[in-house]
Amino acid sequence: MPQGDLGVLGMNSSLTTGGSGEARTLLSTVISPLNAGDTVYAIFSSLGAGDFMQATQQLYVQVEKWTQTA
Amino acid sequence: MTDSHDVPADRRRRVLLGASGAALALGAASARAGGGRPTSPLYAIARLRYAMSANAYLPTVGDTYVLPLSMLSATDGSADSTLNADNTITINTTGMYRILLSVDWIGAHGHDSALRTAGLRRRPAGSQRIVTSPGVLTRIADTDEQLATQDLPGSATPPTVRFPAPPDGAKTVVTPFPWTPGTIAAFSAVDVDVTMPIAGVVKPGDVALASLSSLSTAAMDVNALDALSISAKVIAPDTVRVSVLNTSTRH
Repeated sequence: MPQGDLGVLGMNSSLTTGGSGEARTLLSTVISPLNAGDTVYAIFSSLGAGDFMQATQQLYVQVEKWTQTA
Repeated sequence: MTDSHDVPADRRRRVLLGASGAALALGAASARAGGGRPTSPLYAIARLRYAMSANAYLPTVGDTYVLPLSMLSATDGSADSTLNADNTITINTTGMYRILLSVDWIGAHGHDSALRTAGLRRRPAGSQRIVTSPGVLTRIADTDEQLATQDLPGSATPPTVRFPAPPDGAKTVVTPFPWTPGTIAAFSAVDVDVTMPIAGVVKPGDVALASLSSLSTAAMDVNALDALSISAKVIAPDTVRVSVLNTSTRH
């Protein structure tokens, strides 16, 4: 059998990596006009079964009204 | 309380700190602009922050749900928006708004990797309200105006190690490791033991795969190729044995 380039891939069958317990992200809109009576809301979805959002101080929606004063 | 009115907008883009309860951390914001930006518009910013009172478990995969905001967590006295029972927020005063969404979920829960999406949506005044059921997350078609969206990959993959490994990460070229199994008698195997370049990833009982570029139609006839089988197994911590087995009944 002739020479070839050998490649090996090892994979741990019990440990995981990259599984942060605090995958926090801050998302912002641009400053844009909203009318009285508009409703805004946050959405979430996942392709992973059993996924959930954690009710912590890092979970919020903040509504800011910007009024030009000068 | 609104912020003071005499600071350029770009100096005022602060977010509230993670204060507990209804406590605010708006800061004094009393610094006056210097001479560098004399024509910048000046803004007052009024803020309300809404939060959840309990974890929100997605009941189905791939569907979009309304994040179940349930309480006011911080305010500076603004009456510009109101939290509704259907977890949406009604804008009370026409104007210019910025909306922030901060999410917090475990990196990946019960799976190796998956796509996640979080975002902010707007439904215009006069539209039909979102239909909800008490105590149940509201699934929606996600057809409202998308003010902001972020797709996020979740990850909790198995640790892996390659041999040979790129010396300085993904953008460097791997130096090939040539191997010549030589003549392999029928029903015999030729082995090579490989020390994996990153210690602590694999041990007996873990998974290993192997490849050899000379197992190809360019290097041998099809009968020989069909008869040869390559396998790998972790025989000791960080050590993988690669075997090429000749399963042929003929020489």
